[in-house]
Amino acid sequence: MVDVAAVDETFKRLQSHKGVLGIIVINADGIAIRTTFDNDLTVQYAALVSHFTVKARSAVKKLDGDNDLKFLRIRSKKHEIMIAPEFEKSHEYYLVVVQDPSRET
Amino acid sequence: MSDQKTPTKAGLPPRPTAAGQQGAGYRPRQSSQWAPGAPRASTTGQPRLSMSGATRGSFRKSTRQSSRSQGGAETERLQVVVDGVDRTPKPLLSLNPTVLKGVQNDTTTPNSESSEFFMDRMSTAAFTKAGWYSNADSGTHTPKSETDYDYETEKKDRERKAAEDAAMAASYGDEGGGNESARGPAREDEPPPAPVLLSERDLERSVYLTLHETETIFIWQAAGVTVAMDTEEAKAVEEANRRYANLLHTKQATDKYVDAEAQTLVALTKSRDVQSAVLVTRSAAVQATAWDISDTFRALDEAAADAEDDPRGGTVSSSLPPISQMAGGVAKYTGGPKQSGGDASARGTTAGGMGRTSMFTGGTSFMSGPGNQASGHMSGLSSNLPNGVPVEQTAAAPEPADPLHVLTGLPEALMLMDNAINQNNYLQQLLLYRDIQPLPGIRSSVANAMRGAVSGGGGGGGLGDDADSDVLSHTGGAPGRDTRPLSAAPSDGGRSHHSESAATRSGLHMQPRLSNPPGQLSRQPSERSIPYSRGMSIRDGHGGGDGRPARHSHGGGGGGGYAASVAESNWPEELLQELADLGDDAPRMEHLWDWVCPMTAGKNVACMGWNKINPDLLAVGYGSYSFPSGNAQSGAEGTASSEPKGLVAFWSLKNLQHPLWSFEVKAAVTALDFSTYSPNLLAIGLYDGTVAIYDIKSRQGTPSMESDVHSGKHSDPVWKVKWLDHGPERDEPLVSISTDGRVTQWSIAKGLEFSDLMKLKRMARRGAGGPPSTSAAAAKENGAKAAAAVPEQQDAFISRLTSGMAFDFSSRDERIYVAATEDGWLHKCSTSYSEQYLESYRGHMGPVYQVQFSPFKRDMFISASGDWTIRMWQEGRDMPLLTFQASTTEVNDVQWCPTNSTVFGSVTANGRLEIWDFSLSTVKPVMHQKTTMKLSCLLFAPSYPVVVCGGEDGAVKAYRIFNVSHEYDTLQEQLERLDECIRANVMKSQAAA
Repeated sequence: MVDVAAVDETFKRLQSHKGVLGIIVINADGIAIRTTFDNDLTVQYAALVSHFTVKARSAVKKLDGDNDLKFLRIRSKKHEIMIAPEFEKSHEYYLVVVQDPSRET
Repeated sequence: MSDQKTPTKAGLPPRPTAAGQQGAGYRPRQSSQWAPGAPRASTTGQPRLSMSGATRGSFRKSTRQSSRSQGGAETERLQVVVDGVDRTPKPLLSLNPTVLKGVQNDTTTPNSESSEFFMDRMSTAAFTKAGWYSNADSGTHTPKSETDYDYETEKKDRERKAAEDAAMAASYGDEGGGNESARGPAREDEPPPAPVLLSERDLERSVYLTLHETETIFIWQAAGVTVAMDTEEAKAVEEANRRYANLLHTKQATDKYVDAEAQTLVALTKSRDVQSAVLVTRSAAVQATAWDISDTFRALDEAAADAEDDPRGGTVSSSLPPISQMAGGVAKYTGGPKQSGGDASARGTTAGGMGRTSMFTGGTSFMSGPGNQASGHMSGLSSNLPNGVPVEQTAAAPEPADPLHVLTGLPEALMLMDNAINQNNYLQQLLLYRDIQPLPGIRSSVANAMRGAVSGGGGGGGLGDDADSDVLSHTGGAPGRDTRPLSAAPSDGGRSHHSESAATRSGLHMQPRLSNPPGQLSRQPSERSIPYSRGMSIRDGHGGGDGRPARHSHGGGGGGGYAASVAESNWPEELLQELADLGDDAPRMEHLWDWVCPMTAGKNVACMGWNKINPDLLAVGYGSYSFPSGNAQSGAEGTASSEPKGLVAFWSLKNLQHPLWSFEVKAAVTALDFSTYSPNLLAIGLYDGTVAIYDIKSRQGTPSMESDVHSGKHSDPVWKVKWLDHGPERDEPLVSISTDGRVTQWSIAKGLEFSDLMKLKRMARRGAGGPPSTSAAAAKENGAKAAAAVPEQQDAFISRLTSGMAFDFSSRDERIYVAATEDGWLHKCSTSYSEQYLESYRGHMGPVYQVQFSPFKRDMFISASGDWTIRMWQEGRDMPLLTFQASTTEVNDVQWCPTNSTVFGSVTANGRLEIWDFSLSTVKPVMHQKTTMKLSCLLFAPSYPVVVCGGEDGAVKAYRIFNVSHEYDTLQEQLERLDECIRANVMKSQAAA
């Protein structure tokens, strides 16, 4: 289905980007199946992000039933959290990248 | 018969005492007589009367035989004699033998109350029996069966009756005669009592009948359907009635109820046998003792401790083990505060409740109580507990592969995320690329700027397929607005400062700017304005309304900022003076980024091409080869055998560090071009002579069409391919030029069909003779003669063909093109004539690597050559108008600037990127960028003031050029400037000559 090697390569590339603090892939159950954070932080992100994303999606869907959430950016004082969700039942997941854009290299 | 039985039941009640009592009115005397005995009777007899008060008892008064026996003869007494034998039935009752005896022997004794009473009873029985016998007239006497019940019941009353009758006897004795007579009529109702002979006295006796009310017998009972109005029930009934009436009423008006007949079919059923596998069930049970649990948790603790000791690197693979314990981590959080200190506290995959259990087991005193209880609780869960640690480790192994396999959209999402991160990281560069005024203080405080620009930059995150430019341009104003409240430095104050300085410093520089069209001011103040590092977001903040004053202040600020920016860039000293004269209009260049990734690094960038529809998509052809210098033929042949594979990568602004897509080709890519009307078609030319067409939409690394030796494949490297734009209605032919001397047109209408437009014949060498110096007019007049004559004057060539290196079609006449050759000639040709040149241009001393018509003056073209020069030509003049030479190295590529008629760019083999503006100087480029590698190609971005170049290190460098574009000038203005520059320069050069 998915070329895991290619995915891993992309993971590494993402991780090598400037200011990228971590990458998490959260499955539909809210369990992180890939992460570059430590355990505690991953659990926190997994729990909070999935709830937030579902909320955001419901907002989008209520405005327009045919619409759907594709991407989500949270710009915080310190970080930018980017979420690429997939709500298809068969392969639901959330891809989360946390970046500190102000960080040099 | 029933009558005969009933008396036994009611035998006691119909006593005269009872009758007398009830019918006191009739027999006052008897009642008075009864008075003495009343206390006795009242205790026993009266209740019985009332209870068993039945009408049947009335006739049993005949049992009062005792009175008759008292008064009558003994023979008439109850004695059955059959054949002389006394057959008087003997009582079956368990009477006192003495009493019985008394009965038998002393029946005549009037004082024998008990016997008298007994015989009285017996006489009754005798009556019945006698009647029986008389009727039957024979048979064995079987009194037992008939009178069984009678005696049984009587026996119970026997003693009591005896006592009663003792009292009665006295009165009977007094009135015995009356009693006897009264019995007579009563007996007549009974079956004929043959053996009993009634005396006269008996007949005259009074008979008293007492009528009692019978019990109510319910044979059938039905409750009434009406209810009283004043009861509780009535309301409910009324309500129900009302509802029903209402229903009936509405039923008529609605369609809800339809009286209709329906015929139903019998449902056909079919029975079918299905065979199924036997369900295999298996039950397993595990019992965990408190010690087991304690040990398990201890092991989990140690495992967790080990895992924490492991260094967690930044790479994905090394961080996988922690992930496998994710579930445990979650459980830990839900279980409550983490017990870090306790040695028996639960860590890992156990819930909080179990954690407590393990803590119990840690304490010895609690072991027996909670421990046992805990084992019961855990029996269900404990299947993985005894070996909890191994299970977790083995489960971790397959886990990384499985979940990712399922997530089919993940690669796309990752690509998206990659793009987003790129957009973040290169936000400022992208804004520059898009020609959007950046934010103040970008360099000093990236964080500030990023914070302010997030709406604009974030919006441009590349989510839409082709929406980058739209998004970025739409949100162009957003950063300025957003940053105002956010950025620490008050932009208003900064602007006013610049305004002041503008008034004093800018002065003359501002004057020409004021004559510019207002549209330019409002739309593009950043052009030719100050360096961005000093720029404020004035334009964005103000919008279009007061763009003019804002522009002024910019100019002033820019004047001050120029020197700083020049110093930053380390520009060469010789240019400083020249540029200083230009003030804030000084063209300058800033490196934006490199499009490079590990895949492309080290491969020579041979050619580039923008997509015609999506100008953010840049196709880059890679192929490591040494550019032919001097002797191209040998160079080409020498490297052809060991040619490594080529690569085509598609870069976009969305992701600057990874191409959107790439594919390998069999040989070095030497040329490529996107189709205009089928923007998904990419034509590439290879070093081995192949021309191939790829459909990049299909994302397949195999060409849709490819030339081979049978279909006109070039025998030498293809140096340029180009789709000809003949309008949307006509075909879009592809033209290629190769070192083999052929200019070939390809048609993709039916496969890849070719036709040679021209075979480039070798011209006489420059020193061989003068014919090429004939004027253009002369060449036109006797073109054929000249073409024929020239070869005759030359020495014999080994090859009659020369190598084509580049060509360009005129936008004035679609049939006209100029071909550049390796021997230094430029030939103007027409697709209509495949044998001869329309014109030939002499001047270059080395191979001409590139030729391009001016986008503004359509009969003017420029060429770059290995003789270190760039020459500008005009149709009709066989000598170059202008010659540019800035360095002593070959010029590999030259391109006109699309937005300024007097500007072109070039790249050289020693790594210089040069931008020339011959309105300013024909001696030196107005700006250049030095790189350490050989540059081979160059492109201006079609719609932005950006130039990209590529060289042998595999990086495609993007540079923002400032103060060059005149994109808002009209064509006429551009032409006028161009003509004026050329005229001035030509006159100058002629004067010099």
